[in-house]
Amino acid sequence: MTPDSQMVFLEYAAQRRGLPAIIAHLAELTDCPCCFCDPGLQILAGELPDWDKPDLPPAVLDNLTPLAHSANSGVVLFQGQCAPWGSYLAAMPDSAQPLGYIFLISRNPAHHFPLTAAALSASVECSRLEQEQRIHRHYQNEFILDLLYNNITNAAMIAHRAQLWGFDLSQPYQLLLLAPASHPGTVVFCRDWSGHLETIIRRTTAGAIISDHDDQLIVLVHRPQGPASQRKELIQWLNVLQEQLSVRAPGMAIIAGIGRFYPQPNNLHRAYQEAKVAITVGHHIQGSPFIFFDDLGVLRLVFQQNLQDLEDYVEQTIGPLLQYDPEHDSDLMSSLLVYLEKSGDIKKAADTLYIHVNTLRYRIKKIEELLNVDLRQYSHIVTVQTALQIHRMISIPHSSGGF
Amino acid sequence: MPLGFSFDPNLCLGCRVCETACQTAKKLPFSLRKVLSVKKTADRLVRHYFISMACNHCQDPECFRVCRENTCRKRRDGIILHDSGKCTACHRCIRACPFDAPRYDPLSRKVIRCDFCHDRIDRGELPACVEECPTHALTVTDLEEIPQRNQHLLPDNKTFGATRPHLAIKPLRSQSQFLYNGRLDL
Repeated sequence: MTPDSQMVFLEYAAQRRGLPAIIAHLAELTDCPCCFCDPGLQILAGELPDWDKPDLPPAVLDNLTPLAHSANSGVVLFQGQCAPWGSYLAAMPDSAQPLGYIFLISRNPAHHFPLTAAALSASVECSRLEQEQRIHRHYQNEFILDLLYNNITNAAMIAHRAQLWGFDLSQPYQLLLLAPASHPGTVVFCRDWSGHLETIIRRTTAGAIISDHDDQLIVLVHRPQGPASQRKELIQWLNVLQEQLSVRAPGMAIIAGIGRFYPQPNNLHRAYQEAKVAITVGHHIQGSPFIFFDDLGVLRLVFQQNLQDLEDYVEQTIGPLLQYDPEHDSDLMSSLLVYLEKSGDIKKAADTLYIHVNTLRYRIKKIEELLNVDLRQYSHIVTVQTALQIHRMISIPHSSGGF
Repeated sequence: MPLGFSFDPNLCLGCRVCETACQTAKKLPFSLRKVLSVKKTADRLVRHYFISMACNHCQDPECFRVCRENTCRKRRDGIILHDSGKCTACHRCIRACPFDAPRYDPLSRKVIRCDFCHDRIDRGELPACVEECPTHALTVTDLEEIPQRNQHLLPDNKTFGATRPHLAIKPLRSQSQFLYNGRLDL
């Protein structure tokens, strides 16, 4: 490796020849297979033997041993070992947020220098690409938000402007809102969750339109007009996304709010608001990760009501039960929740609670006495169920505004 | 750059100049802004303060969703505009808004609402209510610049906040405008 060869790498970066040219030149110089991956280990350039998948396995980043750190270039070299390649070299720029890695299937120390030069050149190229993508994304997001905030009302105008971005909005689309799940006491936040998810969606779904806003991912997927039979397909698709995300980001879970289906693009703003309501209200109440706005039921009407009225309703309906449990150290509330969740099937509910059927019967009788209701009557069940849902809804620590 | 109103109840005198300024600027028979007088008692401490409220240009506006005529749109700076020309005065938005912001104008027979004086904003001026507030209790703020916004519920919280209003209310300080056992505690 001569300084001239190093200059070639830098010239490639300066001439914007792209990552494939840099990796091809590295492979030519070293005569070894190599590739460049983004931080999510998606192969962006190059090929590796015995590996035909678009991503490298996470194991390639395990057991990396630092070999050298170039103070001038800021590139760190590592050596690693992983099936099926055996020993390999890896290089990455030394920064808090690496833009990617170069993997070179070689253990020859003479390859350290070209690998360092290639990593430096690749990091310059990546910075440029990232900047370009950020600008592109910014303006694309603005178009999508204009669409979702009803700033473009004419369907023909929407279709025309969408074409400029490569979208075909003359076709009907279903809007979904994806967000990271967060449960009290569980830290599942991942800075790159949206990046991982976007990569997965782009691979699995042709023509998907993706935008990020307000820490949520807005996804528009093409959906032929038809009955609600596609609802199952949508849930299956979301489950696939969740599975693939778990592989790329273990422990990461998503929730989804799904608005109603509107075939016309100038009604997508309504679907967006519905998806937001579903994800805000429905997730906490239904417990399911994927909430359809249509499934919110009576909560669609209730959640707009005055808080004081809602609190009064809860107090007057299930107030005695809410007081009884802490005073007597009992568990009547969870028993009631499970009983209603199992549609009044006392045996299934008892099995879920790991208690004897007669114990549950006694608890239900006690609840009926406290609340002065008959849980065999449908109207009473609806009243209590609604009060329980409202109680959970108003217990959500919602944002409002304030310093 | 989501714009929103910022309100400091510690500075508000309850003079209702903001109401008058709104009514004058919009040439309406009523104001789109309301000053609410709030009294709360806790531990023998009577707290008396004022909250100036108009449309909060919510992040997830319900009026936006329920309107069948697509009269609402949200600008990139977060201001929600209402196209009265399309409005059929069905009152859906009035019922849906947890802050009672949209108002029915019997003269025009349309629903109207605070538009953040967007024409003044576009000229680089402040909304009329903010401009006229003598104590600067009411200001316009870029909500992205408030690091921990959306942490507190409104002091006179009427909703559980699902619409995420673009309104920042400063917390009350204990030494101002509070009555303690009937005496002004300064």
